[in-house]
Amino acid sequence: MSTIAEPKSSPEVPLPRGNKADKEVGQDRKAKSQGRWAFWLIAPTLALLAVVIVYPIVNAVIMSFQKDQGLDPVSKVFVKGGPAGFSNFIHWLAQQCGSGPCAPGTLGSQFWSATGTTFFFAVVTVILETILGFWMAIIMARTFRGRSALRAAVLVPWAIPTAVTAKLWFFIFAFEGIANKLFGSAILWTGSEWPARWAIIIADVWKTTPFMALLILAGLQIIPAEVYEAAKVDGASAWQRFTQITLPLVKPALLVAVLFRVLDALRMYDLPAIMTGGANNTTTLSILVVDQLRQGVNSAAALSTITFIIIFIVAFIFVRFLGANAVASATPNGKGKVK
Amino acid sequence: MSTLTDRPLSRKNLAVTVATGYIPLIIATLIVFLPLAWMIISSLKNPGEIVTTTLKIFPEHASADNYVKAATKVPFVRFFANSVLVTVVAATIKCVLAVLTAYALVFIAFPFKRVIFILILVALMVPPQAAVLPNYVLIAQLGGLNTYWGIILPGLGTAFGTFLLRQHFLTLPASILEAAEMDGASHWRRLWQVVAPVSLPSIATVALVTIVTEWNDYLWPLIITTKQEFMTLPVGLTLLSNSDSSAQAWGVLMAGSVIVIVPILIVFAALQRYIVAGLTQGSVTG
Repeated sequence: MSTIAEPKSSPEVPLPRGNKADKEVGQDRKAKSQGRWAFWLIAPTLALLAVVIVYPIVNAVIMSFQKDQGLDPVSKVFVKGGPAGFSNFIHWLAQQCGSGPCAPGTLGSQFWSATGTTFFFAVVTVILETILGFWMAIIMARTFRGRSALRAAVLVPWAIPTAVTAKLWFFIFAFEGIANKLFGSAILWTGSEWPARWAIIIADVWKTTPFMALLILAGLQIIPAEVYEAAKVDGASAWQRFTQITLPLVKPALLVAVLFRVLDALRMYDLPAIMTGGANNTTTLSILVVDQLRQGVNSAAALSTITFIIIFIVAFIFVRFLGANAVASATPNGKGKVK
Repeated sequence: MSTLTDRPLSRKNLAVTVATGYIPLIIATLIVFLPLAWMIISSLKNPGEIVTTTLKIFPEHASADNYVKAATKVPFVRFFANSVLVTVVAATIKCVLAVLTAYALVFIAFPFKRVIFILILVALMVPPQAAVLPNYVLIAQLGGLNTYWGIILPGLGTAFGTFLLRQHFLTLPASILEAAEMDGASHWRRLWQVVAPVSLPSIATVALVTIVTEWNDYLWPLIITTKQEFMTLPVGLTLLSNSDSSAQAWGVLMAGSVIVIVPILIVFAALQRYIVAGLTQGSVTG
């Protein structure tokens, strides 16, 4: 995963790979045709990214500084659009509607609670999925009969649409559902804050742990068996082998897996939207954006810009954190020199 | 764990294998499949058997009534056809673009290569829901509400496949391309006759991940479609539950869920050999 670290590698740091442009110096004619090839192969992707990623993001930022057209909710006067300054951002960050604080229950009053809920879900699900995924990966890395069947089977929940997962667990956690029957409890799982949150977390963990396990397994498989043999000869216990060999060596792959999962978890929408509709403090930022979309586009643009910045900061912290490890552990195969 | 003793079938060895291999395997499999089994069992029950005072696992008279009801209440065949169309078109475009871009990034020298790769990486970091709203505005302006291209277009902007394939191409030995280069084969022929065939497992992995993503996509089709004839299966499934009170609808809902997951499970069974290989062979570890 050396690549994740690339954005921060500065010019004076020698590039780890051999595919630097100056390797091809002295082949001017060839370089020209190379450039043509590269252009035609890459242009479609870049054009697409420009249309569906760059343009929307830029547009969202512009929109977030505009006023919504329509009737002002307070003064009941028709308001034309126009520049809004930072008012859309202040609306969310300070939870201000018009002249005072937003009334409880309105979307405007939910920004900080939605942020908290989103991070709560992200942190809890990723921690659980990492621990369980690690455990599953270690099982799957062992050699025994039926290993490949196990690896394929555990991936099944990942292949199931989240909408179906949500419905399935909604059914399991229904008041008359099997969860209450099995535990002999009478909990309105999706009807109150904490049971609803745990129901969503269990559904998410069930769905995503297998994928996490596979990403970690990929990291485990690069550890040579001789390292363990040597440690065993030296008398290292199973726990020492785990903490002093497995963990450090699997760290780069693990961090990447965690990064992907965190970014994914921060945009959780389907599960809470279908299981609770965002009720009982399970509204995530994504649900808030979509709900706001129906009430005022420019305000929603400000909210999605804020969300983007939040996620970008999280990603940035991870990449910085990842960077040092990834560069050190990367062993490029001397590839890319092909002209 | 045959390293523990010399005799492969000794009692200790067998016990260790069972304790560390098969028991966790059985637990993991049960956790994965029991909820799915419950879904299938429930889809065969009548409403009286689903809401009971005492727990009844199996239906007394299994029937396909729920499937008939699910299929007649909402146009499942249409949803299915929509999902297939959207998934096939989007996944094909995404995979082809990913192969082309990754090939250029690895095998062709050109200016600003690093900058372009970093741009693609940043695109990977952009959370889709930050782009949902402006995409909606853009597509709506272009008249893409309730159209197939409106559903497909925004999803094409992911760089995941490019990223994964680039990682794989970097591990290919340079020697395999030297012969083709000597023969004066163009990049186009080198790509499809040398690089693509040896990279089939990785390409299949990208295909599987892309197909699963497209088939499962919920938020975007939900926003961009308001007419039933353009809805995909996951969106249509939620329609099913909204159209009836919950206690009566459970069986029908579970039948609908089974209908939704069967196709993806078939594709999955066909490609799983590759995804397990592709995902665990350096695609992530670099």
